[in-house]
Amino acid sequence: MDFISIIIYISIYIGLVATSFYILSYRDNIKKERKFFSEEELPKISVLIPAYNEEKSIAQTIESIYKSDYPKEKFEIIVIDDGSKDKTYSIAKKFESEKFPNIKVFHKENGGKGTALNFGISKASGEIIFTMDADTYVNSQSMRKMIHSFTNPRVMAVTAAMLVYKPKTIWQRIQHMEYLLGIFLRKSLATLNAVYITPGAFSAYRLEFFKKYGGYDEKNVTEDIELSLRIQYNGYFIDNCPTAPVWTIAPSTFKGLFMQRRRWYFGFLKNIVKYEKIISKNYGDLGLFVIPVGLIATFLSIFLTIYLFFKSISDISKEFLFYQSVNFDFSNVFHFNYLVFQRFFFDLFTNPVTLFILLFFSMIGFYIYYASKNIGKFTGIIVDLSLFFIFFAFLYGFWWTVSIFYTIFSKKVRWR
Amino acid sequence: MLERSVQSRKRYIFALLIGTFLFLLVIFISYFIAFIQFGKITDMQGVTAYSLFEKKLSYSFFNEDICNQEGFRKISEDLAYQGRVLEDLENKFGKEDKQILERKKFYTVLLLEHMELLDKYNQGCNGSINKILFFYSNQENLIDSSENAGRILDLVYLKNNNLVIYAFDANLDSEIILKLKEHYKVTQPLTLIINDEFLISWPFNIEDIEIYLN
Repeated sequence: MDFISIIIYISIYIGLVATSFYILSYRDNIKKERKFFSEEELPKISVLIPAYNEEKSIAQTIESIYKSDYPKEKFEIIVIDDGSKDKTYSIAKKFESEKFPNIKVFHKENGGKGTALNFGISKASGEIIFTMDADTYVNSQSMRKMIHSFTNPRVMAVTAAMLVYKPKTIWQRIQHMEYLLGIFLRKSLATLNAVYITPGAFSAYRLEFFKKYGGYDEKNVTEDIELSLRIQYNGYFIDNCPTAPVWTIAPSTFKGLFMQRRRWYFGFLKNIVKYEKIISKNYGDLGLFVIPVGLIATFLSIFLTIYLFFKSISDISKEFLFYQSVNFDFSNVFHFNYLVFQRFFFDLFTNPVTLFILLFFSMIGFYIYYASKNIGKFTGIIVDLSLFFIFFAFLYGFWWTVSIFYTIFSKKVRWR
Repeated sequence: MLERSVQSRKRYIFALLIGTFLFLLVIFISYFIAFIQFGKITDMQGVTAYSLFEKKLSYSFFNEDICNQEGFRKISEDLAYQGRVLEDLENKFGKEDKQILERKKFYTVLLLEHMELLDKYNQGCNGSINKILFFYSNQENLIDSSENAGRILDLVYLKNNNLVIYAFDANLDSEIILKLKEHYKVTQPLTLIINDEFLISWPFNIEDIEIYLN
């Protein structure tokens, strides 16, 4: 067996053990009794919406949060215009003055998302802080569903079921599938108390944590990842609510998506170095299994993606050169028969990698079933899933490779 | 920091066991499919052998017409398929696998039977089907060249309808192969014998072969 086959089989084996582990932990914890707040006990919440040049989406974002079934007297909306150059501030201000009594709109000089959120926290009066991007829309029941996780005093943050809002382009469709598959994974991580990312687009935090450990790291390019790791670092939990759908407008172009992922992965690497002590058995399953296995799997997948990409190019060019060298007439090549077909399937199904891929497909089927059970039906699954299978592995390897390059060579990554 | 602990050590053991079980199960299934294919090839060789012997005996003993191309074509296609699948099985189970070696020996006999029938067909039916004998090698240093030669022959086969290619493992531990090499004066692997007359050795390209075809 050659070296690359060994790497492939090791990656598959790790994937199988990790998936088994997550499914087992989900199964073991799902039946645990959950506590709920009574209507009177529901805590007051503050929804912070930092916005920079979001004139196209800010109105819909505010409206979606205002339609929430959370008792109106128990929540406030705080919009922080982070020095926008467009009409974001005036559009938001109209809501404050005309429609909603419990909305406050502030304007400050541009300083980045972290500064806007910290500004919002200083103005908030709620016990629970929801942070929300200005291009994100929530289901009317999501906040009420998420809030019950805070009945556990050790829970400092809660994440929702993130989804892509009306995916149209190829890149959005790929992200749509990625987000859907992430719904199960995030829930199973939560059962292990091992969620290490709270999406900036929509998450809830206990105000007490900010008071005790400080607000957002304003210089951090992924302030949400830094905050999540800080919560874990201090021994608290992050819960997940898979039945609380939240839609965000995902990058629609290759470049936009690339910039976003480069920032995320670069930020993750920087922050994991900052909180490296998390990778130890003192942090339970998170430090012993989830992060180490995640890192190993990521590096193996990068290695394989790069190797297979260059090997494919090399094989195709070799084939082409070979046929050219023997003066082959390509117009006569189309000669297929039943036996060729049969042999192709024999080759395919006697290769264990094909069978492993089928096994992973069935797991993905389960993840999609889980997502649809929690958030309802969704359309376009066949097209989106096909695009995901074709492009995601390559994109994932590419994003990570660039991010590692930026981390190693200390290149700067900016928010915008 | 608040204390954290692993939820369940048993879960790690179970996950390891389930992951290992699934891993081994898939490897087993892929080998099982290959074994099924091996059984299928064994059966298919029996059927092809019967067809070949029946056709030859019908001609030798009962002077039956062998010029019906349909039956002949079917046998040729079956043999070509068996050759390819044996190659795949060899890659899967290894070149030293005894069962595969036995099948290859039997396959060699079938090829020679078919070759004899082809000669009879060409003589008795004014046929002009071309015949190429290809002596390939599975030796480590010759595998790449063998594969390239095989691909060139594939292309020649695709371009020429009236052609039958017989591929023999030059290193197969078989009396018949030795005699065959002696008969055609083959001294090195990667040699082609075209229409019993022309001997060419690697490297060659499509034109080098086609020049000798009818």
